[in-house]
Amino acid sequence: MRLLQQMMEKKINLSNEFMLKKSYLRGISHFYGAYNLAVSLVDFNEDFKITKIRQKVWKRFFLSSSNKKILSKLMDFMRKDRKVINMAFNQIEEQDKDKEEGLGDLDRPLAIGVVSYDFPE
Amino acid sequence: MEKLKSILPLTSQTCLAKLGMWCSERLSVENYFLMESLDVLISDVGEDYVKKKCKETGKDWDKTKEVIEKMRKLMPKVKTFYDAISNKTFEKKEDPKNKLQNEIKKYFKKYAIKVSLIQKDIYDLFILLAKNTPLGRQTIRAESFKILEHLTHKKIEYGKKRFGEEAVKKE
Repeated sequence: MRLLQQMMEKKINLSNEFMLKKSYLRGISHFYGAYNLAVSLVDFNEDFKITKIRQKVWKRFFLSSSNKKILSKLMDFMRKDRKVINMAFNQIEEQDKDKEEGLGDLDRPLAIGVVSYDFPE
Repeated sequence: MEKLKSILPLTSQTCLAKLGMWCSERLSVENYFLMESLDVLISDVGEDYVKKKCKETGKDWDKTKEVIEKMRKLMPKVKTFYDAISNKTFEKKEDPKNKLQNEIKKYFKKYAIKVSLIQKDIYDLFILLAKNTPLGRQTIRAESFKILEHLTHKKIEYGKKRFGEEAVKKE
């Protein structure tokens, strides 16, 4: 799942960057790109009402990006939705840990001598 | 461990490049690139395989296909109008002098709004395919991210002098 992690990280980084530069429209759009991936990865069942309200608010903000009231509403949604993204990152990390354990301990102290092998004369 | 479905190296390269564009784009245009990478993946893996996997995971392939078809009609419109916008900041108020640009922005907004912010069916399908193919274990190259990041914000300036213009003047 390295690909999904990379995609989500990239989107979140871009979102943070745009939010800092005060171009909120782009920032929010990038954030919900990562959120889309996270929702599908965690298989999060979102309430249909919340989805509908968020879509409505997004629509209004898309048409009038300078409206501060709508922006604060969207920020509230983002604050709540961040949890799902964190859940997705945790899930990826746990999956990766399981794989590492399967490979075994690579730097065991007894295995060090194996590297210095003497060839027979 | 479940066996992964192999895909052609060219397919994975194309998909990764398009996903790099997905990371760089925004305002519903990113879905265009996701759709393209999905199309490439499905054509390689085969629709029957996708159908089978959807059945195994309890997802409705017919419903997903319907959503994909809808998006296939809508996304090119969004993309064409988005590409024609010269100032992609969207922060400034409309310029009364540039009527054509205002019209293009208007049409872009008209179609982009129709694309839902949450596209669960499409992303579910993408993750399903990424999990069952080697694509999920690969990473996107740094160059793929740069393509749009460096180009879209800059205005493309064509050469001021036209080829052969000086020769014509001399004559």
